[in-house]
Amino acid sequence: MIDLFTITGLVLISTIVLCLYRVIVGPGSCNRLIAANTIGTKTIILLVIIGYIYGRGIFLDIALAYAMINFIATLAMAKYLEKGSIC
Amino acid sequence: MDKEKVFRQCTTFCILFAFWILLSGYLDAFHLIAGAVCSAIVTFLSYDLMITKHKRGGVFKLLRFTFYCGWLFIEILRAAFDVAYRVLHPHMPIDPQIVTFETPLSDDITRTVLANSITLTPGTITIDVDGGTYTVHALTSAAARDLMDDRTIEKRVTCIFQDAP
Amino acid sequence: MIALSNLLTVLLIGLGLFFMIAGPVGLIRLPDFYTRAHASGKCDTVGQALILLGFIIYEGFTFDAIKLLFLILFIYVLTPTATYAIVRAAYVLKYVPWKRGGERQ
Repeated sequence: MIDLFTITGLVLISTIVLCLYRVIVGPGSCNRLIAANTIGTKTIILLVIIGYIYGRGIFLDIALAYAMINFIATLAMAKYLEKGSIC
Repeated sequence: MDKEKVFRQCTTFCILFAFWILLSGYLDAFHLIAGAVCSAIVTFLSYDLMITKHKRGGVFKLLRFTFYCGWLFIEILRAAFDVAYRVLHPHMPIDPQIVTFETPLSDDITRTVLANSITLTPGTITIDVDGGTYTVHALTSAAARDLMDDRTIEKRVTCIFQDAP
Repeated sequence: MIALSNLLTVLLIGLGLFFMIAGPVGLIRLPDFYTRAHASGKCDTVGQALILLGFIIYEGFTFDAIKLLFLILFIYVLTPTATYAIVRAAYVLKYVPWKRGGERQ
């Protein structure tokens, strides 16, 4: 099973590299932001997989916190793009 | 008024504390007291955000909402297969268009559920919600027709959140 | 019993990985911002949910399984909302939607 998890993690990392293309090339900030958001959501799964490979449950908590932080960061960036300021 | 405030605070505190216990997993004195203190602080700061209005028939709504979530899950699977097929097809059979439509729904939560449901169902994504006017981007013309003519999602959402008989 | 649950885990994770690959491929291939939002929003949500469901079945009924279930619920609520926020920002910034036969952006 650990082998399967390792392969899953490696495939996920390669999809993150694919997203990185859009972050670097993508025309305009919105294309970059949506690709960055996708990378963030893949990172959540990657954290869970790392937790299972090394047998540490604490990575699940980190993944939960990361999900919320990723969401709030995306919202803040979207609002900044839309209005020109956060407040 | 005051009674409602106390009710809101108590409910928020209970939900937050249950969530704390679920995430911490320890049941000794230190963790319970720390959780109670943290929940109390958060409750004091934000009790008016979580529970806005106390309405009747909440249990039935929750039950209908659960069934709706089951239906939505199947729709989401279909949506993902649809998008994956169109993306991986060599010619990319897409015909995107933007449509707007009005909805009579007035409640904030109902509108949020409708917008999120539109985003997750096949071929459509919510762009803008202004009052009751929704601007929707559809990936194919078939999806746009579904949304404009049949209005399945809107009927279902209305059915869940109508007031108790 | 264990073999069955392991088989189910492998199936779910494989299906999830298929969607996880389809999402970024769409992000690269599709012609404009709004269609990319379709690929990113839907494929990712479903892929994540399927992979985490596979982990839940592998885990069995424990405390961590409940946390994973909460993670799935979070993702289901948060990803469409985040996608909606970004798409609205793009709409306000007047990104031009792509029509059939138009130019790639």
